[in-house]
Amino acid sequence: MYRLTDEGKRYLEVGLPEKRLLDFLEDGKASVGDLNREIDDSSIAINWCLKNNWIEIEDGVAELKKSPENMHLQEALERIESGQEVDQKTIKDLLKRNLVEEIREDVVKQAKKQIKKGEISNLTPELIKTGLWKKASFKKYDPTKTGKEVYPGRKHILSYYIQNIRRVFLDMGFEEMRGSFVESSFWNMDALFIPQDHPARDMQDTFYMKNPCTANLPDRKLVDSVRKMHEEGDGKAEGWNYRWKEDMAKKPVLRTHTTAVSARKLREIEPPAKMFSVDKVFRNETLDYSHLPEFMQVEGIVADENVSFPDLLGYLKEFYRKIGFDKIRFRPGYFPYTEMSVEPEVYFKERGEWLEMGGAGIFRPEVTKPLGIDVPVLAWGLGLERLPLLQRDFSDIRNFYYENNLKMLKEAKI
Amino acid sequence: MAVVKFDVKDLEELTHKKMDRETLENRIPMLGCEFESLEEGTVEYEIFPNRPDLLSVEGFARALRYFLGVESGLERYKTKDSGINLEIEKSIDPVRPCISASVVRNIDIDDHTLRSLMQLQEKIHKTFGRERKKVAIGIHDLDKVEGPFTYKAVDPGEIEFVPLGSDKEMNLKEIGTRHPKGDYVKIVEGHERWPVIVDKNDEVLSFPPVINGRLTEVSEKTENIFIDVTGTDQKAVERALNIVSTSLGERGGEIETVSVGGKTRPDLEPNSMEVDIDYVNSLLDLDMAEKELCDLAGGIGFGYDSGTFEIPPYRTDVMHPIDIVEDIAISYGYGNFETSIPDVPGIGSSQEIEEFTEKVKELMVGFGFQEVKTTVLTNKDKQFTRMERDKEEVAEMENALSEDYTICRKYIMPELLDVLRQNQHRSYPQSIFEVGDAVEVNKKSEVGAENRRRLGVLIIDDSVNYVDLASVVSSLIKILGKGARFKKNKDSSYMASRSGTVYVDGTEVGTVGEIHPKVLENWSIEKPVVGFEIDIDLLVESI
Repeated sequence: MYRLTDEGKRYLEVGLPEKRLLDFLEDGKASVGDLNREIDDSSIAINWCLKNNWIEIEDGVAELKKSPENMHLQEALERIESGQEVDQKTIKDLLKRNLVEEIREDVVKQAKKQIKKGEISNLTPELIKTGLWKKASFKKYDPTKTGKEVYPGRKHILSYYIQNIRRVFLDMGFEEMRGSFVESSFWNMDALFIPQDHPARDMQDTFYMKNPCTANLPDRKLVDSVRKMHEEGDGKAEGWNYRWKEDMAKKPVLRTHTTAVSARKLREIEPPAKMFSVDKVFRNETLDYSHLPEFMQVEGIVADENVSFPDLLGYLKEFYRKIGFDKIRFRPGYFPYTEMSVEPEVYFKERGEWLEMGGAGIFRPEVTKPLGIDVPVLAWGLGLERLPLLQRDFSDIRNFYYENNLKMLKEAKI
Repeated sequence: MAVVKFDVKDLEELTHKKMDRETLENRIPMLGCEFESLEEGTVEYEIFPNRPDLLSVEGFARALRYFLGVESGLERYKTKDSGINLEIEKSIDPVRPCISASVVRNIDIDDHTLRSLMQLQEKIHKTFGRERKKVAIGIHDLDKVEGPFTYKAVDPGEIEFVPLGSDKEMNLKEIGTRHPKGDYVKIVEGHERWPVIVDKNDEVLSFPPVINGRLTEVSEKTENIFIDVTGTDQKAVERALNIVSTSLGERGGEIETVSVGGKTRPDLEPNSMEVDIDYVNSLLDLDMAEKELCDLAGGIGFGYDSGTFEIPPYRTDVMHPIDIVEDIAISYGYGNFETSIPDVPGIGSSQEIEEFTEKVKELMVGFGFQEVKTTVLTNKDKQFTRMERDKEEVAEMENALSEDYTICRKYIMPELLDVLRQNQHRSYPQSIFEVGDAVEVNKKSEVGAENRRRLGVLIIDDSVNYVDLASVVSSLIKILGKGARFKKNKDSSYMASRSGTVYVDGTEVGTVGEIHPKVLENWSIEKPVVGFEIDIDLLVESI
């Protein structure tokens, strides 16, 4: 079995070159120059016409001698294209001129076998190669049936939230921070002016480490100014009025908030500065449907001499607006390291209720002063898991982190 | 977290104001507390640890009268001398050196007052008092005993009395072992001699911080009250005394002073603090004049006169001018501030590792994998035993509440196997990955441990093999700009001769292989699994 080559297909369309030359001459003459200009593949055309004695050329002018009765090669192209038989001699000529090619016998066999079966369900490479698709009849489909659902490889639903939040802060010109899960009590608590006998240090809230069992403290000068702030304040500040112990500050913990990372950063930066992180924190709590001993915190600080409390509220409002919460309200809160302290609540239209999203405030001077910062520092530590938990179909936080219900993760809408 | 219950009617009477649900649920929290519930005439609030003065209904109502505009300005508490002395013996110094006391007379004690008093005492003990260690309060029927009183330390076997909640005489040691409140003995048990307060006739008022005597138990018949506060921090002791005394004063009692070791207590004079008006205005972005500031101060019960604030004696939380600024802000109303976004310069910049992680995630998703997120917290059984691996050094906690979470993960793959175990009834194949932080102990680092960003990948299906994933690791690393080389390994988590170690630039970055059937058995997984895990931080360092 044979099929047209690309050139064969082209000549089927526009005519063989010799046919086009004869058509151009009609009964008259033309200069070779004209022929070259007017006819594509003119040299092939001229060769074939001379060979068949259809024209003669004298002094650069071609003249028709005798026109063939029919152009049997042109007809052969048509026959092959429509799947009809062509005699061997013609095939040989066409093969020589590279206008047809032979289809492998096994492919032809395959294709023929496929049509023989009657109604065909799927188009095959063999049917396409042999052109036998033209003779085949295909099974009719019901286009309203789309089959079972398919799921792409995809990111975890929480990753979309994290990415979005990172982008929001990067767009607002914040610099990203990274810290370590294991942190010294010094940075997690002491540097944040949390007194060493504060209930938050009680064993049930903080994971203390058995290994590593001790952490290095920063330089003596910083340690001493933190100690002094705790013990007696600085004249303006009254302090907590107790004996601060270095050993307690050296105890490594799993950080209970990423505010520890902010505290470290405050030590390094020169205001103005805007920093953020979206990272994990740990609390020694038992696992249930809404509590995990680890969760994400959206942390941010803005240090500048001109910032004020309404600016803090402004940042929070803008952040939540950018991630899709238009309604926000602010309630006074309490954290030992901020004053003013505020607990933002956002309105979940999906649930028709206000929900608390975390904490924010302006760092107390007792926090910033020992770290060498003498401008106000706005700070927030906001929850993350609540967003998908309350907006999506996840009613149980364990679906996220523990079980990773693959069906729900694959089907989760974004 | 101190959650207190108030009877709404009682609260209304003390506040002189009717309160609907909206006020209770949404208005009052703007004072700085958290609404918990409202049921059958009882409202519950969480009180923040900086405001122990709100732990009694009397103190809470006092704050509300200011907040709701019923009252304004500093309230000065009047006191008379009770003529009662409290002597302090030196013997007390090593065990519980601080004490203060007051008397409240002519108080009409009803059920509400009694319950509020008990709640106040219990909550102060729990929070401000650090489980009675720092501060403990004793409340007595003054008429059952006779001053002068003596605070001293005694041999625990020496003195016997009938403690509250009992009808037998016990010595202090016996109280420790037999009395329901005996647990608190641990606060003093390291000492040879333990504290007591006795009266003129050696009748025991109290064994602080453990239990009072039954003799001075307060009931609805009590008219005159003696309050003792003991502890380890004199300032805190005085503050607690002020809170309890003024709270009873709000009920109509007359506060009287006691001579405590020669000092007149309670001291209900307001404290004063200087605060620059510009400081307040700049932090709150307001433009207040003296008059407005004075009004706002009055609206929270503070006095104000030209730069100096007078702080009422029950406010124990003011330790810096910033605390006054916050009260002014609350008085102004958090909801009334006009929010703004300041013009603080900054060029957004991300962590390199986060950007790289995103690329890795994108490629893994492209390879058709579902991202999962497992916990950092895990245990040695999961990380090592079930993986048929020898135990390695890991970051380990000393006080984990749950046996499931005792260490930080060093590897991600075990946690991914746990995901497969829990998803066995769902459709196959399952191809999952996680990129996240694990923790490695490193004694040279500042805190003794550091985070490592790692990638773990698993495929489970009826038929999977080494090549299915080795090709993914190889392509992944190539696209990320490096070449991976593979060497045979003998990792016991994998099947022998069906696993490899992955090297980039001669550095070992991870492993890949068919999970050993024994490991699958340990996880109760019944289909073959192939997996790989690589250290992304190492990869970033090499690129």
